[in-house]
Amino acid sequence: MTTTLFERLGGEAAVDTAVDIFYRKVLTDDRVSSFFDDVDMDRQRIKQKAFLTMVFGGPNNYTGKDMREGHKHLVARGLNDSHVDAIIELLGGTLKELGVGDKDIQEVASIANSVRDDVLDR
Amino acid sequence: MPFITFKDTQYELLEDETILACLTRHQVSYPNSCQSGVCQSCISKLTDGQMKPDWQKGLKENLKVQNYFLPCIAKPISDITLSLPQAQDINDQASIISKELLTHNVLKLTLKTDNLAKWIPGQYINLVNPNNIIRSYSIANIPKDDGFIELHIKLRPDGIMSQWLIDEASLGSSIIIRGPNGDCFYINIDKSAFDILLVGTGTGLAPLIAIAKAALKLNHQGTITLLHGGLVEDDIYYVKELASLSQQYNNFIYKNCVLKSTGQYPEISIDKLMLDKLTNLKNTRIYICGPEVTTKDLKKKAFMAGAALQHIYSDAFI
Repeated sequence: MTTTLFERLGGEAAVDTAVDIFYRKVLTDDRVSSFFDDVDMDRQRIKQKAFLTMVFGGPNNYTGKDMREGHKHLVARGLNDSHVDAIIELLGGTLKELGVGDKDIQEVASIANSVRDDVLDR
Repeated sequence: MPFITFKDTQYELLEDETILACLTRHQVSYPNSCQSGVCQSCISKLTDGQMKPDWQKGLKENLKVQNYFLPCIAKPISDITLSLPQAQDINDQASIISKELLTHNVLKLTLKTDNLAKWIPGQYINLVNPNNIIRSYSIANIPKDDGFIELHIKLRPDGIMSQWLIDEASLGSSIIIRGPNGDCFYINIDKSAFDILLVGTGTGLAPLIAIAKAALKLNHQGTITLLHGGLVEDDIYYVKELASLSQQYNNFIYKNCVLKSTGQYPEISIDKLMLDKLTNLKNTRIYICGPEVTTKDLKKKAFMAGAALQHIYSDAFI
């Protein structure tokens, strides 16, 4: 039986660590940081944790509809493919720091990529 | 668009409008303060229609089950009916014991009330004056031990509540209190050892003192560092009390700082002082209190310096 990356990373506790690393990257990356300037950090952290849990293959109830609704206001502010690319890149960087191998990183990137059209409301 | 019914009158919501905004737009007077789902001043009871869990953010369970919610964050998509909260559900009676100026712009207010154990050190309470003005203030002491609740009121020239407290509220007069709420209080059920860094400016000191005292009283294992910042030296208060607390407890450290010093207190910004003291990143809980802008900035800086976001607790004074 294959295990999910979520399980191999160490479950929820590992996602907690990953979220903080990922969030710091997002806040310091000029390409995307402006989308995160004015948000409540605790609520944002919860959303990011749900997102990471989903892309790591953990238990989640993320839906395309949530993704679409949740990002509509950002699409109106100019959110486009280049920002999604940047987020996937930062996600990869986060996993690298945690010692995750390239094959898993690609798997995560492809799951993240699968919600691209929902996020961008297409 | 859906209609809201309040006191037998119907009001039509605009697209993406909150209930509070709709009532205000129709010149309906409804108690409110922060308008952002934090202070709970506008708490209301849903008597008909569909509740959404988001509208009950931060409310205590007993209020949630009674269909209480916050109209300032509620954007209904179908018709609803709401009413003012019932006094017995949310109000406690208190009376004013003392008023004392701590600085040029901070008033110490002490209140007597029943059931003192309910008032958790560091959380904030809503004060409701006879004119139905509601403002939030943090508990600055351990009410259960002291026999009263201590609040630090920032005096503002245009502050309706603070001016009422200064000019009109007389000793012995009664006042309504609600709560307490908020994330800033000491909790350590499994008695684990960790450092605590308490950071605040102005009357942000109030909850921090309460948290420090609560932790020390429970024999907290780990260093407790309290940092208080002000613009000028006149903003700094409780220096003697805090200095004596640090003499009494080996694990309590108190530092202050101001942006413009005449030599009495060190001239350094609160964020620099915080980052200087944030040395044990892996095992420190950080509490940040004060004006919203400062609080947000300090929280972000602590996080970027490597503190885990889960271990940063903050209540912004909105």
